[in-house]
Amino acid sequence: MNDLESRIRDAFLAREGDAPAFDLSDAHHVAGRTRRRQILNTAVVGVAALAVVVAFIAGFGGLVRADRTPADQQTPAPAGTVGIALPIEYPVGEDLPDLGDAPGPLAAVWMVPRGAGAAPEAVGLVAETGMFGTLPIDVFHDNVSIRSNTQGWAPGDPAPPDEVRVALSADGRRLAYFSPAGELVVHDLVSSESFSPLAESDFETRLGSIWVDATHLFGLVADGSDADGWVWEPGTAPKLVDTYAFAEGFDLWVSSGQGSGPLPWPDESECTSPTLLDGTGDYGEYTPGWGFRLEVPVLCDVLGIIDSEMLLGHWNSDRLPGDWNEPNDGNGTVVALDIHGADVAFEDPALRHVVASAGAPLRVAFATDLIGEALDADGGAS
Amino acid sequence: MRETLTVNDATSSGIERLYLQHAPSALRFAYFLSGDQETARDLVQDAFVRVAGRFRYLRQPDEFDAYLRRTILNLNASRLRRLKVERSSLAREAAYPVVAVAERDPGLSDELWKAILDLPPRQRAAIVLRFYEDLSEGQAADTLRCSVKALNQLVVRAMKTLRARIGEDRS
Repeated sequence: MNDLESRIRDAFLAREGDAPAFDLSDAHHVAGRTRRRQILNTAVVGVAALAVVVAFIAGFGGLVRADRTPADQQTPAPAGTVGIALPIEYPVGEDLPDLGDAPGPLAAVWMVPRGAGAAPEAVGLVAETGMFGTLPIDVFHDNVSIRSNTQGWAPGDPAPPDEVRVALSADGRRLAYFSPAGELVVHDLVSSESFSPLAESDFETRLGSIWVDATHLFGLVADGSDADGWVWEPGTAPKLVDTYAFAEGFDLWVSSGQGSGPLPWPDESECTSPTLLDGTGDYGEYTPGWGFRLEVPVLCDVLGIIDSEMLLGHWNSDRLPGDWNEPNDGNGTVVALDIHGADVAFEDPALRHVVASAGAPLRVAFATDLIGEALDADGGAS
Repeated sequence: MRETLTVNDATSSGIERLYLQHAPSALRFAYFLSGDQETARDLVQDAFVRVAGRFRYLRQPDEFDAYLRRTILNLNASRLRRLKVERSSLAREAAYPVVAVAERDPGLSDELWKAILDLPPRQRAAIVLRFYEDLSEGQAADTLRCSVKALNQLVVRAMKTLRARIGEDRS
């Protein structure tokens, strides 16, 4: 052991006592939270929670279903016919046209920084035309973050609802955002109507909201616990809900004619090669107690699956395996990888189709929506 | 010797027992990753709820501590990402309380400790896993979900940085 290594060990040991003290009451608290999570996981999950998954499914049009959600036939309509040719490149540095109040459903929306002190600009991609343009909305500009809901909101999602300041509904028709004054606004991109969902409610909301399907908007109650949520849909008053019951307890499964298997959601914080579980037993290595596992080394995560034959993810091209591999950083191009009939290696570059190039801001949300709309029903590029 | 866990560990009493058993070491691990007591407590509690809540789905329940460690790592990475997004990471890191200097290692240890806290997250994690948790190269690499080679690269980079910070002449 060299001297520095020894000193490092000593430094850690010297500070063991500075670590937070163990509190017995924590055990009760954590046990309660855990049991609540477990119970709700196995309970009938609300329709809205189902819709989160269905919204994701609709985005990709694949044979993916939600575990423990028996009513998963409720598939909202996708955002219409799209004529986006692939590959598509974001027009970096160009002046974009104003899309107006009613551009129609969007395939994606993101925020573009405009310099110190200025509110970011909302940029959308119109689903039916593939046109990029700016949206005439003013948003709360303190550290804006965004989430498109075709990604769905999964337990353990790294961006909880209270951080999502601008959200696009699964059908691309409605945009929820917080005004500079902190007021929640929902704008209909087809009718040009705007709503203030919480204006008449008797509770305050935390900043941030997220769509769980085309019409249901979800958020958290200000000063409430993490179980205190609300749901709103056009034409109704917002309703208070239990967040745990609302959003917990589903896995994604990939279904095929021969059976089905769970798809573990990509690691929430690291962009590592994903493992796909194949219930058919056709691919991968068998792991006792878990089934057939299939690693996809050229992708650093899976954004989605189309028809069990097309994996969508970020290409883990030039980073070292141990490097910080944040998909929104660096140059991880989004690719669609055809796995139909392929062996387990999946290393043939010819199988990759670039669908969104580097340079698109907030590439995850962008690509997820774009891919969901831009690939045809057979999983190929339209 | 590693304990064998059963389905009964998913009950309330089992969960409490699990927490009592794993929390102290998990809190130290989270503290060394985050450098902040409150953050460490939050990380451990959130990680525990996630891992214990999915107990029945764990591929290897006997590896509960490894799952917990990895989840703490992931949650900490998510936290750092959020800080980065909010552009307050530097301010937050700078605001971390400076911990007391141990009597047995005055001066240099404090300097080294600050240098460790300044390491990039994965380098710091690699250092904690190897030199505090005493995991093998393979175990540490598995926790970080990287190859042994990549792990060693992280450790080498971290050691290089630390040497530069504390000064070779003091070694």
